[in-house]
Amino acid sequence: MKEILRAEGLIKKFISGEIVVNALRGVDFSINEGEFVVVLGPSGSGKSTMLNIIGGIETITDGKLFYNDIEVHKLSKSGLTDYRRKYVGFIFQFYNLMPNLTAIENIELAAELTNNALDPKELLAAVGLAERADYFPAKMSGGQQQRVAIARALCKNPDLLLCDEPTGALDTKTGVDVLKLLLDFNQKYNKTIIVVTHNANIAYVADKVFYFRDGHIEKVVVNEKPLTPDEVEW
Amino acid sequence: MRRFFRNILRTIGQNKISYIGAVLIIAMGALIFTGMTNFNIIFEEKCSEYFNQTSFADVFVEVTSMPKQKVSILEDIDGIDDSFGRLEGNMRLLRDGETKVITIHAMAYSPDDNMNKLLLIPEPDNMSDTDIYISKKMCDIYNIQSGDEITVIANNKTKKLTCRGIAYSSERMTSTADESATSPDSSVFDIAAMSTDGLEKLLGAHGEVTNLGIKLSDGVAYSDVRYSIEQMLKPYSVVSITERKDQESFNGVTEEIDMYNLIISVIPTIFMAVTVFMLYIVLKKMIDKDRILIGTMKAFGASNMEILTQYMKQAVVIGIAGGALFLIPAEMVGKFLFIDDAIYFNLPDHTYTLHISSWIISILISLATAIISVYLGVNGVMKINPAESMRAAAPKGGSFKVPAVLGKLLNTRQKIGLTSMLRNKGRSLIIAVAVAFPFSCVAAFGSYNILVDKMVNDQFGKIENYDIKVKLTELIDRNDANDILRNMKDVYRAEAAASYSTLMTAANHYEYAPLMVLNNNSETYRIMDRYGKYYEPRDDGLIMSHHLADKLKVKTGDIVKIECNDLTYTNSPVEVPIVQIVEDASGMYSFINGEGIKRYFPVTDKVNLFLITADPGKTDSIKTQISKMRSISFMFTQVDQKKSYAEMMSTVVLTMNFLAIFSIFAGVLMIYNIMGISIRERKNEFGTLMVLGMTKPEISEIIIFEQVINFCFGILIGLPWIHAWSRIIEFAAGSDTETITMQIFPIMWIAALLICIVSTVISVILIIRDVFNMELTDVLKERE
Ligand SMILES: Nc1ncnc2c1ncn2[C@@H]1O[C@H](COP(=O)(O)OP(=O)(O)OP(=O)(O)O)[C@@H](O)[C@H]1O
Ligand SMILES: [Mg+2]
Repeated sequence: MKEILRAEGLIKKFISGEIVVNALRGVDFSINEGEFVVVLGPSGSGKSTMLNIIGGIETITDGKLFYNDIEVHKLSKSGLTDYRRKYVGFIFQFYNLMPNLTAIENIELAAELTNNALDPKELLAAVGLAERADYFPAKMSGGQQQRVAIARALCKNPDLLLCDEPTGALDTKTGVDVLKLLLDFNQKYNKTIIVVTHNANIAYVADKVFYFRDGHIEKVVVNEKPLTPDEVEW
Repeated sequence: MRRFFRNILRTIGQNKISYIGAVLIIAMGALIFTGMTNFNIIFEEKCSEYFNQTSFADVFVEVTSMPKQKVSILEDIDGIDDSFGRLEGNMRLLRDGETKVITIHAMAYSPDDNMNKLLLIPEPDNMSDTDIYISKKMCDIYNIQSGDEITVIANNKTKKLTCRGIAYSSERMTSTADESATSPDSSVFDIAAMSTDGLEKLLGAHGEVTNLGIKLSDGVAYSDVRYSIEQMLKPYSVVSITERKDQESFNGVTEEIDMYNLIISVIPTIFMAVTVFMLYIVLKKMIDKDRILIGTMKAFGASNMEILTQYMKQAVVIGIAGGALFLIPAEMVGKFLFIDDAIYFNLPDHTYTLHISSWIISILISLATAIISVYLGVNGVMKINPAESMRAAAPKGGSFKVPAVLGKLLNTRQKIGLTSMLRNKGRSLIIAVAVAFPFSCVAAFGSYNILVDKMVNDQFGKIENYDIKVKLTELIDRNDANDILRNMKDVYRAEAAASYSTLMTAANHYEYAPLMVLNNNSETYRIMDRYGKYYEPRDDGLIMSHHLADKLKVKTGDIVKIECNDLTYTNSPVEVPIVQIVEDASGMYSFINGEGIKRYFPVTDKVNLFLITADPGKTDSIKTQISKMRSISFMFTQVDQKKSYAEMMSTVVLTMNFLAIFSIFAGVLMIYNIMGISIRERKNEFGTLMVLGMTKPEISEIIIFEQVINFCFGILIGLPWIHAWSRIIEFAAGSDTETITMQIFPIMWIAALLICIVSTVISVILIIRDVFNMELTDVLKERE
């Protein structure tokens, strides 16, 4: 299996005035193409920070990060923009939809940023919101907004999809639906997905699980036989 | 990125008021700028057109009399290309039942005039000896129409003439009777044109000229030929020689243009700068609200350039809209000012032409402003990394805590307000600026017309305090004058004085300026400086206005040489010391008393001015008595003088009023917009407080508490601004002969304060309503 992401001694410090927060204190990992990775860990342990660094929206204080041949830690700002545009998709915990665009327009927005976009309408249907196409975010529930955000991320057809607590705000059933959607995308297109979550159950369906504590990976568990969402007790 | 732009557009749609406000703010700046610039450009253009069209001379000479065929001898002087002579003379216009003494200054017209041509409308094809063309203003005042017969007294004979139309002279765009008049007044003095033959017969001056024009060769300066001209014209008794730049009409126009150039280069520029600043604040705040969206776009891989481009489209729309919105009103302002000045200066051509170039400049300035503002705004967000831009900006301004002493005085809400203000000092400062600007503008510009009223009342009340001033055709003995005055009926108080038109020289500076012979302990004509202090005329030398002293570059103790046909028979100048220089408000006078005249000049104490105060309600009786006298040149009533003096100031007064009015509009807009934006950007904050259980009155209290402090702060920083505006007005509206002492009148303090209070109160009410109209659930769905 081909390695797609490798981190060597990633360090991230937030410095504001006198206060220095060591958010990442030396993180090493390796992720292969097409893997579904789940990241678990207590609040404040650095999960989001790592995800942001992988996604190229946060700078690296020290250490190395490789995406295939790309040395992400060496990229300039415009290099990072290009990297994100070509390879990365994001699903945020707080959706971050454009408040003044309808559901379908929010997805089309992502399509405009890439050449091999997936069909926005199909994706909206796939997340079960075909009939909500012309709704503005403010008129949709949190789960619906999250599904639009997922459709938007998938629409870009990224090789690497990063999700920060994508089901955090959702009920169990919707959460499972979202998870299925992600797995589907993972398996159908052989895309790499990293999911940060507090829901330990999701770990059962992952290929790999990273356990975070105090800014580093305490333990990596490889699931030889991941379960399907239907096999998991939610 | 079309979809992203669509999001921006819909954001604009949701914040219509803020954006319309931004457009209006910049449009205000552009309005003042374009209107005033155009007015000045067009006025300058029309004047120089007029001077060209009439073949304006380089040097002007007035002589007592000179044979016409002798004029061309001037061309023998090296450096003189061309010469011209014209007969001019005064006559009195008689109107049935009119008690005013009306003087017509008639100028000879011939179609072959090669210089200082008169413009007659309609153009005459065959002028008879009794045809006359009269100035537009005088025709309007006395309702004289083409074809009307008028009666004049000229050369002691009564004659009937027929008005054929309007006459314009570029030499006399404003016509002041003589040195005894303070300002032009067409109801007592203005010009007219007659055929040369007709005028010669009327004045009994065959083949004579009184006014000469001279054209110099290229590269020759007036100073090069002045001496030769003087020498050559000595036999004809020179009254005055002036070069083009000092010629009354040319100088008046130039000063006007210079003054407006100053006003235009300073005031609209400051207006524009303030609006530029405000637009920047507004746009930056709007963009700051988008920081999460910009962060998200960047996380998705949109480049800075792509995002910037989308916002730039918005900048272009705002910039062009702002620059273009008020072009029509701007032209109306420009036209209004232009017409006012064109009337004052008797310009024959009142057509106001549009200047597209200034439109383009206005649009470009506002476009550049909008683009720079948007660029700075967007760039500020993009400099930070995307992960950070997806979080709300942390407040700067550190960890201010309300001190314990103050804490006891304030309740919780007030403490919240104070803390948030001091942690967002920039926000408070901007609101304060939005208050300070209109406050200072209204107070300063609004005070100007009150100030002009005061100046008029000082001049004609404290300095010249009489009902009627009479200028005699000749100097008479003071005792004879007193006899005449004593024999008049209905006189409450009367005094005789004298005014001489002189040429004053000091070193190589010279100036034609009136010398006033005043009486000691007078109550009718006194010397007063602009601080209200009076001075008595002296016999040991001149008291001189600082305007004249500045021109002559002299100080107290210096000697000036005085030439005047009525004072210095020998033709050799008389030297008189300056004993005092007075900081007066207006005019280029010097003063002496009768004893002083006898002491320095080889003449006796003669007079040519009557200054008369009538018994209550008897002014008309005095006017009637005087209009029946023979040797009267001019009669000025106090009422007319006040009116014409005020007219002289009217264009600047109008300009200042415009500025005051527009600063009210701009101020209301700015206060509402800036307050609105800075309160609305805290919707979530207030939403959270409401979720925590704070009541609407309590939240209103926070908002009001903060705005009251911001407002007071704004008034406070408005004070030095008022001081600055005052200095700018003094500088811009003052001239060589006029010193403005700005003063802010109590009524304007109150008006400015009220306007700001009212707009602040209305703004706060509207904004608070808006804040409470929000859906709490909406707010909490947004993450900020
Ligand atoms: N911009 C920032 N400035 C300063 N400190 C930060 C910043 N972002 C994160 N941190 C700190 O870095 C640490 C890791 O934060 P991070 O958001 O990665 O945690 P997390 O594991 O995602 O937590 P959670 O499960 O609560 O989302 C925390 O201690 C946090 O306070
Ligand atoms: Mg997190």
